[in-house]
Amino acid sequence: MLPAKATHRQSSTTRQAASAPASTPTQLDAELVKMLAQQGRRVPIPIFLAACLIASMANEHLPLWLVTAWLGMASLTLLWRYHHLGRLQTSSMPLAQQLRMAILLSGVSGLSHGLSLGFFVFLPEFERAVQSIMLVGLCAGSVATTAGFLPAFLAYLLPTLLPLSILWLAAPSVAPFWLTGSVALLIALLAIILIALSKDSYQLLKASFESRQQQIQLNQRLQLALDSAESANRAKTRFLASASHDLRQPLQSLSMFAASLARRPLDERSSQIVHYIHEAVQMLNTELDALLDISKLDADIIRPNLEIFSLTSLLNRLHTSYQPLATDKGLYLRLDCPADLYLKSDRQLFERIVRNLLDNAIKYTLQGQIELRIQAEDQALWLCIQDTGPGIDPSEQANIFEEFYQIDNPERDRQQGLGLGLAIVQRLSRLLQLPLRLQSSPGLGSSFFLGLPISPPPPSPAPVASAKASNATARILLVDDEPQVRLSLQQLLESLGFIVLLADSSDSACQQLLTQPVDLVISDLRLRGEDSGIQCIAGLRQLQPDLAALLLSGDTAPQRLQQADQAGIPLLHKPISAELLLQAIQHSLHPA
Amino acid sequence: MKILIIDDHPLYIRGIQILITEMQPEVQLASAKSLQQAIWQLSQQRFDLLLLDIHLPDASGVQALNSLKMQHEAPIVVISADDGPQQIIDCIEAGAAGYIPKQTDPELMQRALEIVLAQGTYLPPHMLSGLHPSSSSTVNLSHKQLQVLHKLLQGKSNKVIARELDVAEGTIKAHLWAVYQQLGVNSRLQAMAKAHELGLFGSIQHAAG
Repeated sequence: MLPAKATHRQSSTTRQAASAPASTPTQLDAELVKMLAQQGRRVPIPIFLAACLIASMANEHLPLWLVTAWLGMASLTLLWRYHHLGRLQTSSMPLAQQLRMAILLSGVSGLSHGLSLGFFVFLPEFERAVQSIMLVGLCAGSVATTAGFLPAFLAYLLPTLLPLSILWLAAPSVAPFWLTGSVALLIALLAIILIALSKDSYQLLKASFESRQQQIQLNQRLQLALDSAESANRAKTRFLASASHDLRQPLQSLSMFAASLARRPLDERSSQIVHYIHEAVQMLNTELDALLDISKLDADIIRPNLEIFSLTSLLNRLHTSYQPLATDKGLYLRLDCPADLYLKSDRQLFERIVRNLLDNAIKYTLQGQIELRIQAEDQALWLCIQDTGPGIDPSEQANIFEEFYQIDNPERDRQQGLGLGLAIVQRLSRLLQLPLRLQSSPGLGSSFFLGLPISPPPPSPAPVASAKASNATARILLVDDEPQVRLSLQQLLESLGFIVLLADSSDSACQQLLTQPVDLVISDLRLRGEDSGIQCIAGLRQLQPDLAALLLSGDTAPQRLQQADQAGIPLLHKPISAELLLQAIQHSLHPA
Repeated sequence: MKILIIDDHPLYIRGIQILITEMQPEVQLASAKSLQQAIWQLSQQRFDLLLLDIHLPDASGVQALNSLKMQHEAPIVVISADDGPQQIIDCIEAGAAGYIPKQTDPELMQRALEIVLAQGTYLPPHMLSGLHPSSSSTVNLSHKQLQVLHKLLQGKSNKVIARELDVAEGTIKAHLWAVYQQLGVNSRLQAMAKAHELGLFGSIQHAAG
């Protein structure tokens, strides 16, 4: 019941989160300041150009000093605003103050542009229209640059569009009143629309911010859920491991006690009872194994260990092993498999599948035969286990692979086991990625088909004989202080076709080298006294610098390995097979 | 014969003790619950065989095996709840004279114990059939070579074998060369499996006999 409650609580929390604002005012404001700073710095150039245009228009009709003063002031405020907006984010002012600063900057900007309306009255109609276009454009743009933040936007809008509208209405003009009045009205309407747009823009910002916050929170919750699932999984694995260990020991002990008892002289009745104990223990063992296997498979702990192995020998072995069991029940167990089939899969797990299928076949077949054969179908090879049992009704065929399911065993007669065999087969076949099919009808027996991962046979080690051809004249100097080893190694090397010279110490080795050159020296790592193979090889290389060398050692002490490693000479471990030795020699002589 | 059983499950120790006593009443059994105790026991008397569970509270895996080998020359057979192939390979290569998984069937377990009590070596069946079939025609090992192989499989070092057979260590090495070549193997585990496959155990037990 516990898990169900937990999810219920979780979903109600989610619902709560959706209705209430997920962000605190401060977080949103911080985001706002960021946007104001970013956006506000985007448009200095166009604003400057617009101011220049207004100034040059005004210059025609007004004193230069006035116009220049205004342009100067407008440019200064532009620069000042640009600079301060940039510093706004990184300043140490509290957030509320930052926002006020942003509004102030907007206001100053608005005022400086609005002041250009002082020229309005002196400008002819055409220039008045141009100035209006500039101002309206700048105002519309400021919806975006103030990120819809109403106070900041109003701080810009009011000093600009409000006087503009009034001026169109009130300033003396050559155009008819109805025209100027309409323009004033339209500008006022536009201002109202822009305010509405600004509010919408702000809502958009807020919504996008909130949705981002929600996603972050969701991610955090997901991560927590993932962590808790993983730790539950680990706990389950630990439980399995300890259950497996702890349950088995007493069971094994029980089985040994029963076996011990069986060996003692007992009267017939006691003997029978011991036999039953024995059977019960065996069954307990088998089912415990099956139960733990299923849990392991479900917990995804088992990793297949792929290798190439002979299907033929596996099936032969199983055939021999299950033959007595089949014969006891009066059944005939047949095997029909080509002689040289190899598979690439996990050998133990694959064998387990076949065993379980065989166990099942034998258990449920009352008379006739069970046949193991290889069948080709759908351009692939399948292992078919066919029995002459009662057959399985199509409606039951999916069910039999479920754990604990047994057809016709409503009383759960324990003799038939727990019903886990096929469940394990199904999981294992899925783990090994082998298709599994069932063909059966009541009265006609059942056939289980297992897809086979056929593989070419494993590469066999290179036959030793091939060595002789390429190494007919290679000369090897063999250095070892033990006469027996020298002798046996000499025999081995000569049988491989090499010419062998012998030495028992560094000195005698050097002497040998002086009389005739060799192609390779093989030396034992430890020679008599203070002498060593490394020393020997070093001495020999002074006489013949490019002499190939191999070291042999019966020692696995790390220092020795290090010494050989540092000397840069390959080290082989004794005892070593002929093939490996040959490979090493060939590699030294012909480093390709 | 004196056997030391090293396992941290007292019930299991009881089980093995009773079974072995039924099988061979003249065997003397001692037990130890940890590596520490085992080492103490080994310092008190000589044993002919050690049965070791490699998952002890104070040592694990091959480490336990190595510690014991340093203390004592008797063959060590691992009896463990773990039957993973890698674990078995590691133990054999580290010098165990055999490996009996605890899950083994009671009958097979009895046979395994019989073999081990007779100084033979035992590997679970699933380790034997999988190894690559190497070039194995007929194998002709001399009596001496068989003896050396047998002692090697029991986990004895070259020095110890040399002492027991009263020959120079160099001779032992030479014999081992020859044996490995003849069997076509590269490691102790392969040698053990090969010997088993070829039924050398029969003749090995006879040679050691």
